[in-house]
Amino acid sequence: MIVGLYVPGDTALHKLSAAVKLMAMFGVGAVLVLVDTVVPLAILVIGIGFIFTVVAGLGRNRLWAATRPLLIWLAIIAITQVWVADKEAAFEVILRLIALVWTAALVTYTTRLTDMSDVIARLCGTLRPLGVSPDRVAFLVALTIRLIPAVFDTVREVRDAQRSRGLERAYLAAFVPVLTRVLRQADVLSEALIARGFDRWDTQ
Amino acid sequence: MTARDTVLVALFAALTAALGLLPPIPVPLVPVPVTAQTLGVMLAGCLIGPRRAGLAMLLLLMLIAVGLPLLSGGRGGLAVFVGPSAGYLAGWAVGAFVIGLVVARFNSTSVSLFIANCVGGIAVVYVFGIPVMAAVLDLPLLTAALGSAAFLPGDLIKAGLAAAIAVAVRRAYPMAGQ
Repeated sequence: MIVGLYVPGDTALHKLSAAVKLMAMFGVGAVLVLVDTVVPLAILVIGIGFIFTVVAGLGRNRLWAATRPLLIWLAIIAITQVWVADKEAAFEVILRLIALVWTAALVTYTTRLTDMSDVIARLCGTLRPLGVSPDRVAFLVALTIRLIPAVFDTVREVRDAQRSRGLERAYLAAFVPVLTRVLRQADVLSEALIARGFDRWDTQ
Repeated sequence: MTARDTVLVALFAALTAALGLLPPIPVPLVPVPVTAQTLGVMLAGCLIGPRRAGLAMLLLLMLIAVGLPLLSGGRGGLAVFVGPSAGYLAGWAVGAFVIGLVVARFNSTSVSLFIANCVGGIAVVYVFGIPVMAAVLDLPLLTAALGSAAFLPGDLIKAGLAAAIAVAVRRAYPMAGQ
């Protein structure tokens, strides 16, 4: 089962529409590019952190979870610091990065998957002249989410079959049978779709 | 787009997502843990052709953007698209497309698939990834490129692996790629 990153809640931020939150995120991004001194950036970071933990009620653990993937990058900045030797600029980059990532994580954590998908569907609608069909995109999304556990089932079946023949450690040997099975499943699935009139989408 | 195209696009998006859920493998002498996810990018390019492979990666990126934790390490959401590695993610879609193009041009021996993976799965991905990383971290381009070199050994291993797997799959299932 794939679970989204959305954290259920009842705060003002949760109630805001997804489109407004996305616009606000771009707004914050623009402001961050314009601000180039450490103190205002630090105030912004603290403010966003406060909104994240208190106003949106997401707590410190999630703030840490949003920050953790950045640690390796912060380490890289710190290391290059040795020969760049502009500490103020390095601090600015770090603060800007943290502010931007927290803002983006805030939008993701407070917006339902379905609301976010609606925004995507609307964006796809504007691409209709280019031959993008929002219905088809929606179908692809649903199909992919369904297929992820199906791929795992196939992996487990193949691994079980190999283990019963003494291939416990042959991790790489699983790839080829998994892929051939998965491709065969794709044929069955597309035949099932055609049988249900799916291929008519082509002629529309 | 036929029903088969649709299914293959969704399937390789799902496969790449599933590869991201595997734990990263620490490889001796390689400073960063190697994740299996870019293997999905290369396999898609090698097996389902340029258009479908590119679309599969775009679809995966879309699912990540709307808030599914499908990147390796359970990452996802909009945050990954504003971070330093955003360019690499964009590079996946273009890279898978380019691999497909190169594969379609040449015969599918393991050597040509390996070259295709190096061109699309490594060079193209880095071309997108390094400038974005340099811009976000405010690093000189050369420093960012040197930093990315840490991923090169792992990526070369994956390019070879994906080529070997794709050749075997094409042999076992000749319909693949059509």
